[in-house]
Amino acid sequence: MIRIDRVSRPRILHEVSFEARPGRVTGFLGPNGAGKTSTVRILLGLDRASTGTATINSQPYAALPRPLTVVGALLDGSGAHRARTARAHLRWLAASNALPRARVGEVLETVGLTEAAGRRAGRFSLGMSRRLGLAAALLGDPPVLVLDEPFNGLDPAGILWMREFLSRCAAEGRTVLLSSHLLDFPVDDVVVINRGRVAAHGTLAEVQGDHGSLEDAFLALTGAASW
Amino acid sequence: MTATARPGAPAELITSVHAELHKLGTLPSLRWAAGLTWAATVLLALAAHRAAPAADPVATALRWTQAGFLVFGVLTATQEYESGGQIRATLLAVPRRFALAAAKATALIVAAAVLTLPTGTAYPISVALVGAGLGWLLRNALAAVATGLTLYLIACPVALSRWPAAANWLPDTALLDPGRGAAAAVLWPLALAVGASLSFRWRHA
Repeated sequence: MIRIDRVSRPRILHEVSFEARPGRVTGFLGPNGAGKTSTVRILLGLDRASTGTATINSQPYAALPRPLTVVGALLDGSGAHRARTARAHLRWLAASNALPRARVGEVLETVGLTEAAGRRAGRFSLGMSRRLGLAAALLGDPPVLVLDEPFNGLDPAGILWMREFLSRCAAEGRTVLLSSHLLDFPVDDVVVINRGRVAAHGTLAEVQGDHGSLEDAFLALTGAASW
Repeated sequence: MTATARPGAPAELITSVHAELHKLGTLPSLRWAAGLTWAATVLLALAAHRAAPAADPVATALRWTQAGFLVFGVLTATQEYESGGQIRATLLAVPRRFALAAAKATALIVAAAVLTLPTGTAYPISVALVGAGLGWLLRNALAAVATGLTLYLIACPVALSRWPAAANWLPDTALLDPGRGAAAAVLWPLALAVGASLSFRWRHA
């Protein structure tokens, strides 16, 4: 369970509150620059909120013991140094949270990078970098996944794969929070953010309301329909 | 420091140090820096021994090759901020920043100690730590190396020639006069480590 409670940062976020629940895919939607990445970074302890709290299973990220076993996060870029091999990157990550080394081979297999394990991360295509980032997120088999724009840089086959993968994660009972400026993926719950404020929050049906489709609701809520 | 109050903190430190050592061991630029520094030190020491058998050849060699240890220290820190955004992976894995800083310092001391063992002096460990402190503060390898080289190769000799009494407080006195410079060789990296840890704690990633 992810809970964001009245999180603010001057000029970026204004009293942002929402929850993401287990067993559901929560889409965190908004135009570019709406505050999605800032919220995710605060949730993950990379940035600080000036007021408000962001917790995962009732604890701030920085208080989680062996955090990779609780939360898997995918951010912009792979997180691997370009001169390090994919395998070496995942090995130090596994060591940092006392995870068994065998997990490295397993997650490489899951994301389809087994063949590229010995290649340096700097030689990876954008899509492969995202897969490596996802492999890192899955290392600790975490019950919570937080993904910032997971579809960026993926080719159509990769997008399909990611959509199915995220649905499967939710079906397994995991909490899946993903931010996106696209709307083309299956969601159970929706949070729409615009200019640092939550414009709508609820189940897909609740947010769609009378708008007919999520696209129409999104455009109406974010005022982007003017063109 | 919340990290020290947590139960299981020592175990956490050991796993973090293990991960940091793994990072240091799998980065090609660090292997190159270590290998070249080592080779240059051996060659210069051999040459110094032939030229002046009475002087300590290792100390003579280290006057020049300490720059290699400085670069090594800088790179251990700035690798986190190079392209790829490794610092975020690091902070997601070990989010408690003082604990992470302690693990990184410990790993660097271990790596630098292994590297300097053949020289019979601990002085290069001090130089590597100063490099790492500068790397953490400046987050840029070139800026940190330039600052460190200016400190060791220009500022220290100039300060020594103008105020000979300052020798006790210069970071490089320990190289030629360990008895006199030991305190400074410990205090300089310590002060930089404290400054770097505080800046790391409060700055955004």
